Amino acid sequence: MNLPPIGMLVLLFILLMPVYVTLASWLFAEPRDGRTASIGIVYMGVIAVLMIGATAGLGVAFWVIANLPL
Amino acid sequence: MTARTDYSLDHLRGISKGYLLLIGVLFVGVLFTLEAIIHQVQRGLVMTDLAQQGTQGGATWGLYIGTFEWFAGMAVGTLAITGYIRFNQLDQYDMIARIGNIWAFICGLSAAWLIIIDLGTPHRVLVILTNWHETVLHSPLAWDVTFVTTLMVFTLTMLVLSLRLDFLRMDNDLPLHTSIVKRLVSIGATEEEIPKLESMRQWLGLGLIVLALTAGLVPGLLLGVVGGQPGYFGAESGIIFLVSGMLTGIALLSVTAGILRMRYSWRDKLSNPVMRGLGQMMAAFGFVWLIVMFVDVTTVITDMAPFYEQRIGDAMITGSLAPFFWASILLVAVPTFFLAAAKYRLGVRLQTLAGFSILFGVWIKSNLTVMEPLLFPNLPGIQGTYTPTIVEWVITLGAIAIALFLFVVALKFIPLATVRTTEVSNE
Repeated sequence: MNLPPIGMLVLLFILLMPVYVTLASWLFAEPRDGRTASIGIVYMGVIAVLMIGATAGLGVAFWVIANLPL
Repeated sequence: MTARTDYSLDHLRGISKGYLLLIGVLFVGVLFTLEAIIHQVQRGLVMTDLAQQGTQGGATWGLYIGTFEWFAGMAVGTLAITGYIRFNQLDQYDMIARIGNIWAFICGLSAAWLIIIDLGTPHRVLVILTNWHETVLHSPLAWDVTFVTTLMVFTLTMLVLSLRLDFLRMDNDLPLHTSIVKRLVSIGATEEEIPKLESMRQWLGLGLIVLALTAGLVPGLLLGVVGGQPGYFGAESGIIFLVSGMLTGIALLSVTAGILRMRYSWRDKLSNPVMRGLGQMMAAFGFVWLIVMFVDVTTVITDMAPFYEQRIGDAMITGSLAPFFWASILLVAVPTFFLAAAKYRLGVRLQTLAGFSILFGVWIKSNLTVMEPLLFPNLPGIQGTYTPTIVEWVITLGAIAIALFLFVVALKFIPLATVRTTEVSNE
C-alpha cells in the first residue's frame, strides 16, 4: 500500500490543526450564533487573502527594485 | 489633582516630543535599511560575506538567519502567551495579551522578512507562492511558509476579534485615527453578539495555543532534516528553538510592559502582581534555557566528543567564539539569578533591564547556533571565517528598527485594553 506524500499528512494533520480547532469551536461551541461566527470566518478569510496577496506584492516590488536602472 | 494611575487611552492622544524623536530616529533607520536592500537586491547576495562552507571556508548562513530564529522564536513565545491568557480568560493579564498579540504579528512578519532577504533574489517569493501546491508535498521549507502565513492570519484575526469586543464595551470618545480602526473591525457589530464574541475569543486562544504547539514541531522538522553536523544536532535544535522562543517572548513582553508602566503609570492594567508574574515566568524559562545550553554544550566539550565536535567545543569555551558564547550565557544567567534571588521583586526598572539583557543574550546565541557548525564543517583541516558586511549589519539591525517602528506606530492606533466607562464616570 502506498502512503500519500509525507507533506500531505503534515499539512492535513499538523499544520491545519489550529484551523480545525478554531472553526469547529466557533461553529459548534455554546452560545451558538451563526451570524457572529460567520462574520469571524469572513474576517479570517479576508485577512488570509490580504496576507498572501501582500506577500505576492512584496515579490513584485523586489522584482521592480532588482530591475531599476540605478 | 493627582496624576491618573489607571488606563485611560491616553497613549492614543497627543504626540510628545519624545515620541516624535523616537519615530524620527526609527524612520531614519528604516530609510537606511531600504538603501541597503536596494544595494543587495541589485548586486545579489555577494554583498554579504556568506559563502560555501568547506571549499570556500565560509558560512552559508549568517546574521539574517540567526536573527530570523530570534524573531521566529519571539513570535511563537508571544503567540503562546496571548493564547494562554485568552483561553484561560486571565483578565488581569488583559493588556499583556494585547501587547503579546501585536508583537506576535510583528515578530512573525520580521521573521518572514529576513528569510525573504536571505533568498538572494527576493522576488523568488513569487516562485515559492506559485509552486506551493507541489512543494508542500515534500518540502519542510514549504511547511514553514504555510505555518508563518497561518501565524500571521491567526494573530491578526485575534487582534480584530478582541478589538471588536473591546470597542463594543467602550463608549469613550476616540481620536479620529482610532475610530477608523474601530470602523474596520466593527462591521455589522451589535451588542447582542458580546457573549458569542467572548466565546470566540476564548476558542481562538486555544487555536493560538495549538498553533504554538505545531510551531514547535516545524523547526524540529526543518532543522532536523539538515542532519547531524559537528556542533549541530538536528533534533535537539527544535527544542533549543522553542525554549529560546518562550524566554525571549516573555522578556519582550516584560520589557514592553515595563517601559509602558514607567511612561504612563497604568497601575490597574500593569499592576505589581502582573509585573511580578512576568518576572517569574522570565526566571523560570531562563533556568530552562541555561539547562538546555548546558546539555547542548556538554556533547562537544567532553573527551568522548569526536574530533570535529571537539574543535567547536574548544572554539566556544576558550577559543575564537568564546567571547560571544560566554557573553550570551552571562547576559541570560545573571538577570535570571537576580530575578529568582529577589523573588521577582526587582522593581519595574531593574526587571526591564533584565529583560533587555536576556533578549540580547539569546540574540547572540541564536546567531552562534547558526554559524558554529558551518564554520567547522566535517572536513579535516578546514576552518571557515565569517565577518558580516555593512550591508548585513544595516539590514539586520534595520529589521529590528522596522519591528520597533511598527510597534510604536501601533501604539498610537490600537487601544491596549477595555476602559470600563462606568467606573470612571463619577469624576
